[in-house]
Amino acid sequence: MKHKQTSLSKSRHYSILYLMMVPGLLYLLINNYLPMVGIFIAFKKLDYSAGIFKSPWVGLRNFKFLFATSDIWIIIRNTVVYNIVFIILETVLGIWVAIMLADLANQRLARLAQVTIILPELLSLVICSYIVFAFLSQENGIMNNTILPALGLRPIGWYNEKGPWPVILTIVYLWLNIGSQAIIYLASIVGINKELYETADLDGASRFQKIIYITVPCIKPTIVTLLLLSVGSMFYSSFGLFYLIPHNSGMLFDVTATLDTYVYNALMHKNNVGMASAAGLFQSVVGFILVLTANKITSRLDPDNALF
Amino acid sequence: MKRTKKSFFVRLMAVLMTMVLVLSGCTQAEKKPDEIEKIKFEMFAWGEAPDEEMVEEALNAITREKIGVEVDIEFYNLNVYSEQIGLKIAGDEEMDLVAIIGDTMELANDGILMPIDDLLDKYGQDIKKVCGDLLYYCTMDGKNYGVPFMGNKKYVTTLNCRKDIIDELNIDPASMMTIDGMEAAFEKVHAAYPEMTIIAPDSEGVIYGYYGIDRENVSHIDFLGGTYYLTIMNDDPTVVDFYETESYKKELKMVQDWYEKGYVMKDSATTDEVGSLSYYDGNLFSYINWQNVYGDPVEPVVHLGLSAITYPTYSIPIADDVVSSADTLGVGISSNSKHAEACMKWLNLLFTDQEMCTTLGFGAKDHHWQLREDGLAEYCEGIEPGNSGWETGFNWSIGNVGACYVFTSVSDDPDYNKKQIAANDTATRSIAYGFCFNYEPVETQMAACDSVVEKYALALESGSVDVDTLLPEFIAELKAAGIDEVVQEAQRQLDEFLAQKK
Repeated sequence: MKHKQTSLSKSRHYSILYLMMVPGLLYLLINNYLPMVGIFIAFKKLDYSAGIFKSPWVGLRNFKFLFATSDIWIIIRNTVVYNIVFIILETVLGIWVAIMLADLANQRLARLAQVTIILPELLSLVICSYIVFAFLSQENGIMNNTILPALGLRPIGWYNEKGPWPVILTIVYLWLNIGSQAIIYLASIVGINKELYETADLDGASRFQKIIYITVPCIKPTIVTLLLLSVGSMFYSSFGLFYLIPHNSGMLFDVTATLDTYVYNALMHKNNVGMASAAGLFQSVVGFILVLTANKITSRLDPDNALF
Repeated sequence: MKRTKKSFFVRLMAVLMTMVLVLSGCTQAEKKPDEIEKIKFEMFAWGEAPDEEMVEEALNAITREKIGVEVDIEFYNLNVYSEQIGLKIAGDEEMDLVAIIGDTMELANDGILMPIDDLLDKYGQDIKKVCGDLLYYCTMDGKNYGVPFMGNKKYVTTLNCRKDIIDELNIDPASMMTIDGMEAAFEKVHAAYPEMTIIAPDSEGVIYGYYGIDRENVSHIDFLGGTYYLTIMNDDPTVVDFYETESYKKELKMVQDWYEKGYVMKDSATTDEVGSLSYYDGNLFSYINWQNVYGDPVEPVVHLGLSAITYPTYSIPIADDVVSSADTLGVGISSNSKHAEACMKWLNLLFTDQEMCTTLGFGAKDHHWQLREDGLAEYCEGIEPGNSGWETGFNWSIGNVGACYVFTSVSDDPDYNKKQIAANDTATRSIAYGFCFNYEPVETQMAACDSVVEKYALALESGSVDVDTLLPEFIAELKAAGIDEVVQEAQRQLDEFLAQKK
């Protein structure tokens, strides 16, 4: 906005484009900004007979229950650690799968493979939770009744044992998400100039060297953008994954509770809007700080790719 | 959050509640035909009610003329009822009458219901007369928040099991009233039908848990309005944390033993299915729930189920019957209602008007049911009980059974319904009947306790985990969450309540 003249003529020039932004902005305003007014509910004891605005202020009391037990640290740990693991594995495996797909000579097979790996993404998590249940059910599950006995192992009470769940959730997450990641990377791999590879072939580069020295550097902007987007939502978790897949089993809370499931449970529990808002606000504030930090780090390392 | 969001009495769903009515004088309220007030009624849906419009019109025809009020009933699925009410309130939508099933304590606590003492004095004289001292069924800080359902209010924990199997294996149903007898019977059935699940959990995933009473030591237990962990036992006014009691431990051990013996559905702690539903397709021998008991409850009762697919069933009482503070069925008035007076007039009429009461419970007169010359009611031809087009919970949750006509399918005694209500007077009544816990002072602690309960209770009560290691952990976490403060606060309020009662 320094050069008033320019920006004005620019905005005229782009006026149609700005007009096209209006519906999107309105959507953002109504869905993301208007509800922010409700933030103050987090500081009130909601009395329905008095109404939202006349309910008494209670300061930080609604936040107290978050910290009443040691749960909150477990929950934060779960949210963040799962996200870190997911981001790393999803990126590495996504690139790996994309490279394999790009190298497939048989185009028909490549298309089939693309469709196959992206299919799980289209499944509702409710259905996924029952696919997982079909494996892990104690009564009829494939694991306890077929696979484990075949290996000579004792059946496991899957929904009562915390141990395997970090692995189960990671597998389910990757199964669901690797497809779309791979497709995005594939798109940028396909865009790489073929001549680079031909030159490398002439120089006698191995397949591995081609990946390390050509493919990865060429798709770096894509990797950074996707990484930044993921880090931005580090404090949010896939609700369905953590709530539905473990069937909300209490015994697993230590490894499955995340901020989203906790907020949901708190609201459903006692219809306590105040406490639920407090938890939601807490999540937003920490998420906000995290985005800022991630962006700061990125702008240090690679200023071109930072968000702002 | 499975367990707290729904009520104690949601679990009574399976209960057969057919009600009937007695001839009592109709009181005619004042007429105001020119100004018709329209009120809404938020109700949980229990069955299918495709004939809603017809029944509403039949009701309105009565009330329009007598009190100048019309009602519009809105049904919400029972499973999401309390959330729906919560959402409506959060959206500041106006409501009038609100059916109460279990969450009275929370509704009153959140200011969703209004205190109705003054309205009762002004427009609810008939309600007061019918209810007597049962009226004060939800009093918080000395104020009354709801009009109770007046019917047989005695409940008992029963073991419901397949009559055909019991007869086939020559088991004496009366012997199953003790734990030892029950276990002996389970063993026999398990040997004869090894594929069959012996006992399954209810809709909350609970097999024995809060139903359970360690009968040798505890004759009755009162969960102080459905809190699950605040209990008083045997009318001892000391509030205790149920999860710390010996009785609870004993039950858990018992269920764990059942689990190991293969009596219990293995996935019960996880599955979303209501275990007891497999009863209907023959894969289940028994389940436990609360039953509303008719007459003398010490005998096993045989009844046919709600529909043809149900098996003839013995309902065997495994605890003493009691009228307790956990009985939360009733109706309240929303605090944002603009028609509170009309609501109370409408309720008052419902408590005395035979036709209105029967219509609300059983459908439109001369379409769903008809009145015989002897003053009994019967279903019209072609109307099938259980699939009548007006299958609601009204007949067992709202109003006054004593004001409904007696159906011939239930009894030939025109006083049958009145006798049901009279039986309440002789029943064991918990000293805490009517106590409604104001949990505001300990809200934080309760929310924390609730998450701990959520974490442990279901797994423990399903029998699938080791009681000796997990129960102490459970109790320790509850302590850390501040259960002792909650118990203390409940004790203080209960003492106050009891002192006022005297």
